[in-house]
Amino acid sequence: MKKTLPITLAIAAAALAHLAPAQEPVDPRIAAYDKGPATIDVSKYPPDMQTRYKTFVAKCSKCHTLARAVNCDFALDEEWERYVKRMMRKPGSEISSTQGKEIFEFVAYDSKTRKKALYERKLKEAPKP
Amino acid sequence: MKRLAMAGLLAVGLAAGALMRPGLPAVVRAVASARPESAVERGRLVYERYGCALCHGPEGKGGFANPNAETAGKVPGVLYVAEGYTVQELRRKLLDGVPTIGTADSKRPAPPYRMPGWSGHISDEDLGDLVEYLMSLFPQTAEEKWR
Repeated sequence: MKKTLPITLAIAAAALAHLAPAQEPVDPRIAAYDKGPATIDVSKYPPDMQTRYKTFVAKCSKCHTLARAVNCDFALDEEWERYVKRMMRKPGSEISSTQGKEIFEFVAYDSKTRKKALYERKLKEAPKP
Repeated sequence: MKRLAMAGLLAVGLAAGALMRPGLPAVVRAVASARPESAVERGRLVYERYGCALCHGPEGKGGFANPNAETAGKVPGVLYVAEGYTVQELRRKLLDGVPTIGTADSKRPAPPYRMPGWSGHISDEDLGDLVEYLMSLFPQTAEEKWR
């Protein structure tokens, strides 16, 4: 009995590991975003952006931390458009195209306001069409 | 003399092996050697060859079960990658894979399937063709202008 128990446990552990393999840790860059502030002070934003902020909070916190979206380095309109559409198409995101557009309009506005320096730097560096 | 005999035996053996080996039917040889001219068509073959269809579906619609994945317990489709990725971003994604799949319920086991990274396993040409194919899947009727 004493001899078989560790073997049984080892087999059980191996079987569990196969069923649920350990995932790699979150990318350190993303983990850093997750540790930042999780809200945006929108009190001085126009009322329509404050409304859009609510959609942003409700939808973007469903699958990941809101801090990730708040602190990431996306700033340009085209970056945000691609990213929001990418999220919108994920099964289970439950982001309609109207809501996706609202979120996009909010983050695009927010980037030009709160992340103005980053936005301007990226705009300057972006290849001209 | 001994060496010569050995070499002779080896040659006979190789020839016999070649004769005994069943040749590929002509139709298979023709298909295998035909290289589509279009990058999209070549990319479709890459998609099949690398087994992408096993999880993302033969038509890229996804939906295969991946229990406890945050994506509603399903493998996402690839029909809309053209609106969500630049060519460079998509190349990077294919090379890096998706090592971590978000969980719907952190108390339950992690989703069993993850996308492997193809870095070091796929040629640059195949990667380019695959990207072309994936970008071509986007249904033009789904295009939305937000700006």
